[in-house]
Amino acid sequence: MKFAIRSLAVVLLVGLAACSHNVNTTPGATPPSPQYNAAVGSDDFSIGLRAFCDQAVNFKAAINDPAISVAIQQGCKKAAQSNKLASAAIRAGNSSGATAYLNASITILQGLTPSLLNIKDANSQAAMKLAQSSAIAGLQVAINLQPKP
Amino acid sequence: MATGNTSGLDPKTELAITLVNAGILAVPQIVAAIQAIKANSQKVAPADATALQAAVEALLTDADANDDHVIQQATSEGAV
Repeated sequence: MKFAIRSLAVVLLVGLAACSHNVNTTPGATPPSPQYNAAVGSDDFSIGLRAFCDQAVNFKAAINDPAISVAIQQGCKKAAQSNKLASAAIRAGNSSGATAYLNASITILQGLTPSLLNIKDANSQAAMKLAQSSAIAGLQVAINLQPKP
Repeated sequence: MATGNTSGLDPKTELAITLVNAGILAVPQIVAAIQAIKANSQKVAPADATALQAAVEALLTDADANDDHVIQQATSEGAV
């Protein structure tokens, strides 16, 4: 079972990574817009974060530890607030600000690792760690898509 | 192992979906998110400046909607 879960995690992450460099690769297409790519990245991260946070709610009964569930939701709230600030920075054309907020979100999500490791139900813990990895991978996509100064 | 790819997804993502559908691990939200991210990341920026600005705003509006959902849900679940 553990092998299957790890295999699944690997293929999901590889699938996510494979998505990360595909913006505007159509032959003959116009050059990508930096702001457009940045907006794609912010939206990608919001999708991955939402999946992680929704799953934490869906697994709440199996996690069976209110303190852990609240800690995860506090991280979710902070990461979502940070991404909203990143989106606002992208609207304003502030790529360095957007990148800073996205990096802050990585720190927030990585900071949830101790809570996830304290989940006693093995399947719930594996599922949440997988979702965390996917959300962070989505975040890395977002950072990669930010315009470089 | 099947090698065909009729869904348009890359084979590894398709395999992941197969594993989830087989009940090995119930993570439909993650698979759905990967599909959405893949579709999202493959969008091509419009060449027209007005359409481009509208597309940027549409993406950021969607991001805000997802983030607002997460914030509201977290608050209702006890996050301060």
